[in-house]
Amino acid sequence: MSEKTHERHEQISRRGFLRTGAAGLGAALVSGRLSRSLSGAEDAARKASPPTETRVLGRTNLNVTVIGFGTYGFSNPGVLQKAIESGINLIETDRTYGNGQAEKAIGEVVKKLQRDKVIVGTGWGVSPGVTKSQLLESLDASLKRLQTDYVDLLRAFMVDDPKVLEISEQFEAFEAAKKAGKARFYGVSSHGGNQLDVFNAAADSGKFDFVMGRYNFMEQANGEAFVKKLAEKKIGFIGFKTQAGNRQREVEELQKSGLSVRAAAAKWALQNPSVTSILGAIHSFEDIEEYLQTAREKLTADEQRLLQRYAEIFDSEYCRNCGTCQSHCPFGVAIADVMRYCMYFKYYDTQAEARRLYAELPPQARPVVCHTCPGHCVAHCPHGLRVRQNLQEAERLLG
Amino acid sequence: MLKSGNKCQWVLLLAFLLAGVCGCRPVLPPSQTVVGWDYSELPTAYDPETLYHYINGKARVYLDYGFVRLDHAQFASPDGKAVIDVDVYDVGAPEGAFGIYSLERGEELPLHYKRRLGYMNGPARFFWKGRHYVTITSPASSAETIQAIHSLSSYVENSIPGESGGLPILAAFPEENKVPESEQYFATDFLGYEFMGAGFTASYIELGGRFKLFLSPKDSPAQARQAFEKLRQALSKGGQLLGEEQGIGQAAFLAQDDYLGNWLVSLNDAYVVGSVGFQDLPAASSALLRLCRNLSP
Repeated sequence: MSEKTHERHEQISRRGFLRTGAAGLGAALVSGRLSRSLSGAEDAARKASPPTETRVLGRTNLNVTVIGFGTYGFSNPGVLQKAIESGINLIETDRTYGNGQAEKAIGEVVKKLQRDKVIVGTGWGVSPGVTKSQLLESLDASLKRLQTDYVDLLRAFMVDDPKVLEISEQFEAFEAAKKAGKARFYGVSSHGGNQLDVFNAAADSGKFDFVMGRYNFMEQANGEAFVKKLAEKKIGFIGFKTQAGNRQREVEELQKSGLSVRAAAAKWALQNPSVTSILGAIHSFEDIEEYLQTAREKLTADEQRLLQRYAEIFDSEYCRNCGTCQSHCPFGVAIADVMRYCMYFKYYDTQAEARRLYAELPPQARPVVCHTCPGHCVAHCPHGLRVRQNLQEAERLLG
Repeated sequence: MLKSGNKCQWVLLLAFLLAGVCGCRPVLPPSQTVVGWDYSELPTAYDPETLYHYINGKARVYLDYGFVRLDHAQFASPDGKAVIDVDVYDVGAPEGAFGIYSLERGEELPLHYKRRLGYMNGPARFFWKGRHYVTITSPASSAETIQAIHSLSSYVENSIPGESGGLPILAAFPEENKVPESEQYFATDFLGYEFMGAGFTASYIELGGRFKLFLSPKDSPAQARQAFEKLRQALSKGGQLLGEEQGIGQAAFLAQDDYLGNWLVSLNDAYVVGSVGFQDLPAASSALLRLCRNLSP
């Protein structure tokens, strides 16, 4: 570009720009489109596609679409707006995503919508020592970024210790927020190694309206049990991590059959009517249609076989039985045996047999001491597996 | 023949040189880097296949940015009441490291901001250097923990080869009216379109709001033209083309859609560039012209 041309544009006025622009721009201005488009999201819900299936989120009685909009790594309000137009009504985020950027991007869309057409959820951080006022300040900051007066779903974000659910300040803060009209329902999210314990504690406490956690075909036995328990107590469940890993090499190989592992995994999760919704990683306009198409279809026998095959590959790769961890365990835990029995329990519908085998192990070979160890097994695993965490899970399931 | 002591020195020197040449892995702080702080989780490595075990669903995004390897360790305070997680992500290239850093940082400047390369946010330090993105975080916020975070951070930063520095391409974004340090890099689905691949954005202040300048580098002018035309088609289908614009790059058009508002898109050699989300057309076009000028050889 020449300097002269540049200068011309530097000096251009709004009127000048319009004059040098194409005729289409003038036509657009006449029709009022330019100004309208700048608040174009305001009627997004009105233009919604044929309705996407909804389910009731436990005792909240909220009708939530089976596909929710997950927002880690999200920054494009346009994609969210399109998703809402396409029928998705659940938006889940947290104040930590992009240091609040995800909430801000959501706010750009939410402020233009009829607020009760979407269900917005966010989280606050609950940890020992947190005060009621700190939590309320966190919520106020989220509401400001979200450009809304309230969130429908407020949750303790990523809890990995059931004791966190006993912290009374969170309930005091939630009640205050609810009274002020800033939050409607309270829940908890977790996806760490202690998820099962956290959700059991949440169900037993009676103080949570919904929970969010990982739910996938690789953890069928665990998942179905806790989702059933939650449903019995009318606690809504929203699932994520439905893909059970990012094993791209295996996925590419399996998908040569023309089936999609992502779609099959999502359909598998939605087979369970107690799973109200799953959160999709929706980053592009193309992702929206893929997820919605998935929600409209049932899991086929071929897809079921695809997932089984994936699980088999995953399992064999999950622990290659190389024995490296075993040789570094200072306590003599029978790592390979314990991991294998745990696999029987979780994936092979032979839970009684798994427990029997585990019970036959000498006491010192069981992973009861793992919580006191910094994880020599993990540090030496050539495949980066969280061996200690898996052993602790095994002790919980089988012990 | 070399004496054994000399041999050792040569071996160490060779290892040091090789590490420098290869670019190599930073070293996690050893136990007791901060006196009294011992490992509560020993150094552990994760690769693209196993990253999911550590960061769950976020792994997909990290893989998009080119994740290669994560080195992790956790330290516990002398009384065992506080822990600090040290995570060093090798993202393969500076763009990837900056991309994840900028994605997780967001646009607003956190407290204790320190140039483009890092910041503290509560009891957590985040920075990138070369191809590495580093997070050093704790749920505890005592003064001792913060001090330990700084010490561990310095250790890791010094162990990463090379100099700290920004990405040269970011200098193309004009400074005038730019929201400080608002640059971001997206590895995929740029602006919501898969075909756009990767790109950079920066935010600008205009009367009554903000808009973004964007920049998507391609391998060749031909590829840039292909992406430019696809974007024109997509905006035509999902919005409305308002016309061609002369004098900005090799070609330019103005468009609108209901999602990001007004677009001014230009083809500039091997780049697709543009302004999006603006209300003030002259301000947006002026900023875009400066961007184009800065990209000129």
